[in-house]
Amino acid sequence: MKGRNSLSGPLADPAGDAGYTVDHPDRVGFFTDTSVCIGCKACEVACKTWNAVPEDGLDLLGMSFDNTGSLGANSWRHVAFIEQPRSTGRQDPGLAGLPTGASGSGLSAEAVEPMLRHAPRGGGELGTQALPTAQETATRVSPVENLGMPAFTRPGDGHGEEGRTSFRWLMASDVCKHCTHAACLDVCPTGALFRTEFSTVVVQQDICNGCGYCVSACPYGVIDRRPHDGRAQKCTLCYDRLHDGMEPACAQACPTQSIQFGKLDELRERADQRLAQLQDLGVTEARLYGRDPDDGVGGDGAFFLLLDEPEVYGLPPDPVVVTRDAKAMWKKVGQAAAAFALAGIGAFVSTAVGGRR
Amino acid sequence: MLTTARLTEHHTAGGMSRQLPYLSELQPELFVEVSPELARMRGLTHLGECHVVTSRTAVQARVMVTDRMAPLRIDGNVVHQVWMPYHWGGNGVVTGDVVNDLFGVVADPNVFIQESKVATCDVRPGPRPRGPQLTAMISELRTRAGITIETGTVLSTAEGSPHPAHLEESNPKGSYSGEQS
Repeated sequence: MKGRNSLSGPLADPAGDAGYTVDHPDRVGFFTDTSVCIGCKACEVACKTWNAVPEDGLDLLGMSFDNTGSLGANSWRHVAFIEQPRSTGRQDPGLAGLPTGASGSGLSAEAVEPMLRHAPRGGGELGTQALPTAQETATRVSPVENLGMPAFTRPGDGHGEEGRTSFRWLMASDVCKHCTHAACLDVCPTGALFRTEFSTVVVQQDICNGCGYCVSACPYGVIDRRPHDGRAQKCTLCYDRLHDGMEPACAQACPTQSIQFGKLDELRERADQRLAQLQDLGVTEARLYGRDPDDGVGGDGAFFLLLDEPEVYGLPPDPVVVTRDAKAMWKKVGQAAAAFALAGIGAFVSTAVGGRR
Repeated sequence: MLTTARLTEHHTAGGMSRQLPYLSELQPELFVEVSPELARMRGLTHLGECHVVTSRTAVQARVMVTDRMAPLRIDGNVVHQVWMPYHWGGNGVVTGDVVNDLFGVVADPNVFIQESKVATCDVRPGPRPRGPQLTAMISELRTRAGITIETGTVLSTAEGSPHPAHLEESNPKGSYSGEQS
């Protein structure tokens, strides 16, 4: 949809759509390349230090080395750790039949899954709850075909659990996506959430009244209310730093340039090149998430390069902005109202006609 | 078989990093990583309390079940390995038992720091005993295993090289007198 105040679809200039004059800055964002993330959590600490975000609970969550669990009012960056029984990177280029869903053998799934429910925040709401059962794992078709040769395995190889050597971590730093069509902003009744001149989405703490509409509207579950004062909080893409020509704290702290900050057009180009490079190297499972301007939110300002299905990282596979169906819904509401009005008038008319008899 | 390693979020024994909420919340509690096979064998539950026992003492930790801990097969025997981070102590925003207490106070003669931290151990479900009960338990285990103060203590020096005899009584200043002594 084009023009002012569009509700969904591709949009070249969200800041312009929000009413900024033509000389506003270019749209900026993050490209998070999870293939080079080392899980150091420097982004989490840098974000909290710069933005004075309070500590988010001293809970051991039991999800690998992830003790943050999810994005929230007091965690604006979240590094997910997903353990998978696969080789790392080019040791195993592009086998078909990826293990999607959570990590681990059937035995560890049996041990971990029932206890995660009792952990704080139910194990952190990542995509790890749907662990496969031991039966499912046992019946999973092996990618290796046994041809019935007499010495299929090497001597002394794979005679038990000590043969378990394939392992990889998927580490990914999640953040607010700064959607092209931001549901949080669209539903905000006070105007506390606003589109900046950089086309990012920011909450104004002094205006937010804590109604919480944005929390249920966000298709990614990013924005959240701070328990002690009730006001909504999320990543501001370091709005204050942008004004001074600095990059956001997390991107500056990232030691591997997994988090890249820049103009969105340039980032998209860079991401396409990186994807092509990985595909050439045989990492066929690499994919971009939130890059496509034709998706349900019109593309993300912060998008990702992933090495498995989005669900594995706890990301929704097909996010949709709540306002996409608003026009159709109000049309139906209008028709229903018109029908009721007609029925009411009809009732009076028929009574009047009946009364004459 | 127990060994220790560090976590990214803490600095050495945690004396500095455990004072900081932003680092403490990222690794809030002492845990021991065990394989699912060992967890089943010893009745350990994921995130449950357990204690790791060596001939020195016992420390309490939460159980972390992970496939990263794979059992080894050595001479046909299955040997389970466990590892613990050692960043906790008695003060700070987060506290916990001191893992280094499990190991001997031994310096490597080449580099003069603590020797490689590896030991055999037991992992038992539930919190560890406290106070006199802990001492009694360790003492009983030592007796059962036949471990005395001499166990594993080998004084070895290079053949023919000058070295001080154990002459603390006659040489109270401790000064090295080489061949003359």
